[in-house]
Amino acid sequence: MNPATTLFRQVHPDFIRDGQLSSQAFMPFPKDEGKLSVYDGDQISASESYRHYTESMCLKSAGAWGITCAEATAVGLTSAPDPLADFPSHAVIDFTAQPEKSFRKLAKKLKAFAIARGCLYMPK
Amino acid sequence: MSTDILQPRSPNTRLTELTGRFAAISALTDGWLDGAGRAPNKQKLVEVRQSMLRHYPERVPLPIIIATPDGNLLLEWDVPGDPSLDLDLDSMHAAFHAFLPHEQEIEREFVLQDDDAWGQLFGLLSTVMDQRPG
Repeated sequence: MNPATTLFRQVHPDFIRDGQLSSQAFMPFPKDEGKLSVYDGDQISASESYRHYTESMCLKSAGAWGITCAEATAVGLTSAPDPLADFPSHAVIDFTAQPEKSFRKLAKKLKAFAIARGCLYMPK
Repeated sequence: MSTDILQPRSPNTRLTELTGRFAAISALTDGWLDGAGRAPNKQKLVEVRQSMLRHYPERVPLPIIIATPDGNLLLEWDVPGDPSLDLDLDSMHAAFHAFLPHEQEIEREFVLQDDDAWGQLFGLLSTVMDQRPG
């Protein structure tokens, strides 16, 4: 991973309402302890990440949105590879160095980058 | 070009839209988030909807309403400044945030248990929209 690497985030359908992407899509889930799970775009494409998420992991996604490592850094977050045994392209955007109270505004900044780039893979 | 989008929406249209947005959230059940995800309290949703309908400023666009994994609500407005409100349904504690011009931000907390508090929240939202960046 390098600053130009795009990190793909799968967005649950309930985090898009009336066609509008919510910042909730970029908030770490409670089980993830402050680390937002993403795919390392140096290892997998947006469409492949969608298929992995929905078919191999059997989770719901309305599409893959992207943020670069440089964009995460620009808002004060770090990103790193976090390969798992059955999920080698797993990476994280780490919120843990920031106070939890600031997570919402950080998620909103990530959302803005993702919206500017547009949805990178959406199922037909 | 349709002129529909240039016309202010009637109060009845907004009521219908807001009711529809709450209905979508109310339909969620426990486990909605790939097996995790607590469903928001339906009675609380009714109370929030009624309070919003009583106080909602006519000129402010409706927010999207999102359930959070812990069964609370996020309201987000698709306007410059990206205002948002995180609302804890148990305590009715609400955290408002928006970006302002010149890289400033505003954060305020409310306890939305009476009409005054809802009025203060929407007053702030209207003010923020007047200051919205570029």
